[in-house]
Amino acid sequence: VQPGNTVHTHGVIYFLSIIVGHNLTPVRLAPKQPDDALYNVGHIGLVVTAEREYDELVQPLLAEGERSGEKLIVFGSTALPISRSMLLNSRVPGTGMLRELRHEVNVAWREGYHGVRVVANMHQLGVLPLTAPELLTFELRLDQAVTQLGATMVCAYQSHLFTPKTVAVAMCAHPHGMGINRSDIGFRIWSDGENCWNMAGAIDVDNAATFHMALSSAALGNQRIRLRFTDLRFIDLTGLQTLVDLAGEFPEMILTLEGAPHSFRRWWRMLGYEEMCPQVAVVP
Amino acid sequence: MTVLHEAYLYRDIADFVDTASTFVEEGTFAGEAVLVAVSARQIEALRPALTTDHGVTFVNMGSMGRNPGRIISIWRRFVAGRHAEGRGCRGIGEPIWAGRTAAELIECQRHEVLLNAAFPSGPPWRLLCPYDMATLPISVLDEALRSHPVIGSDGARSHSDGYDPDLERLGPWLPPAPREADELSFTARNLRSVRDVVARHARRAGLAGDRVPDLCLATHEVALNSVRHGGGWGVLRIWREGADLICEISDRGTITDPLVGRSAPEPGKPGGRGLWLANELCGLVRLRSREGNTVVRLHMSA
Repeated sequence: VQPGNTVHTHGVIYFLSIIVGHNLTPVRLAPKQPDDALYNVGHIGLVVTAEREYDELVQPLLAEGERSGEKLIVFGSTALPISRSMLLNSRVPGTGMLRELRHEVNVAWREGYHGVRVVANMHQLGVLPLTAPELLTFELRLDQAVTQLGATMVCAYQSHLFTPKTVAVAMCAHPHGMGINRSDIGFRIWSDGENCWNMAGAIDVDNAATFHMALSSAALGNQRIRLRFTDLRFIDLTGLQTLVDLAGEFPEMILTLEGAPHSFRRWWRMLGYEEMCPQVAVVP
Repeated sequence: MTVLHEAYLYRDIADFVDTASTFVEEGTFAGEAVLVAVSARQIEALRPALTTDHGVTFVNMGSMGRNPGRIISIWRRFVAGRHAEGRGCRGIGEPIWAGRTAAELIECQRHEVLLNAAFPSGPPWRLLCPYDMATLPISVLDEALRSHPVIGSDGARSHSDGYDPDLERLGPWLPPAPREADELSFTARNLRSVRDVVARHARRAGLAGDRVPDLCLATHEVALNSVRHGGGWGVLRIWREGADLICEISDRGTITDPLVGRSAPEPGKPGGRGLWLANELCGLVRLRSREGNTVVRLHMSA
């Protein structure tokens, strides 16, 4: 399983248990990847059709975490039985969740837990009124925090409570997606440490505006950004123009495009962008 | 017309070198910049014959002009650049050589006709197009007389009586796609499928290196033009012809500018780049358009 893949509901319980469980066998999942790569995926987007499905999918995840000696944190409410190691944070912090998350994780480490896994029933966090760009910004910040904290976090979106487009935009900011994301945008972007973002998928005229939204959000307040193409399957002229536009909007920022395929680098030169955007470094 | 577009029918390589070196040196002595776009063999023969090659740029037409749809944008960039420097310029370009495929030859001949209209304003400049009488068929030489207002041979120049810059006489429409061509209708909603089909065929045809992504991008951009300007939908047909994989995009749009895709776009200026990029990336681009019907064929060889 590579970041950027969408795993549909079929078989999702098995996937959840192996991706977050301590007893996973890396060989079964990704034979060529080191163990760390599996733990570092951290931020998982889950699309469910109803509350019941949410409980069914989340329960084994929490049980697995408990067996592994991790602290379990549920943001929002749940009908699941509350165990000793489970913290139910029903303060519904909304976009203040980042602060709350950092606090809870730090407390968990101090309490001596081996790890932290967080489940958020997103509609209970006050994100429903957020516009798609706001939600994307929120999820990207969350992704950055989850990466920095080394936590595992599942953001559950109940598809009947959000528009398909909103769900799709939110899912862009998760390296892994599960469930049926009917309007899948076609790319994913996720944090890889400070000011470094990974990107997988295809960028074209259809999703370039969302890509631009994500990059603008990542760039905000930063002097230097690294965008690493881990699996760039396609980019069209609109997508390339998005990167040029971003450079124009943040003229002081140094943007490094890493892992750009040979064809990308050729197109970039051919279109005159190398001269036009000297603050953008395109490297293999 | 600011380009003085002349054909020179040469007998052999010595005749070519003699005429070309005189033409180049007239330019360099007058302080003009000169671009020579001919075969590697001709460059090798011409270079030592020049008193100086200062101010002369040589490019291999065999690679640069393999797709004749690329050549006008190169001349336009060269001429605009020199004019911006306040300098005169001239060029030698030989787009037609023995061994061109039938499809390439027609596109080259269309290119020669289009050149006459490609420089409607600006300071005048001279472009000499050598034609090899020893290897090219007589029909090709006859067409050179029709596409160039000035003709030279045996050291003499004169106006061409047969000059007729009418594009329509040169392959007004393309032969139909073969019945075995794979076909896919598309709208804005399934451009991804267009790319998937092209990538699958390209890999199956053994296209190497960047040719797969290049053909996917070119086809995607042309298909996007159909969505935007061709009535919102189009049809992709894809088939193999000899060593070429051909992607055809047809739609119900009308392109009125025959020079479309033959100018390098201004960097950063959105739009108007799809066909230009297709010309840059593909081995050959064939475009035909009449009222409510446009066909673009992209050729990529394995």
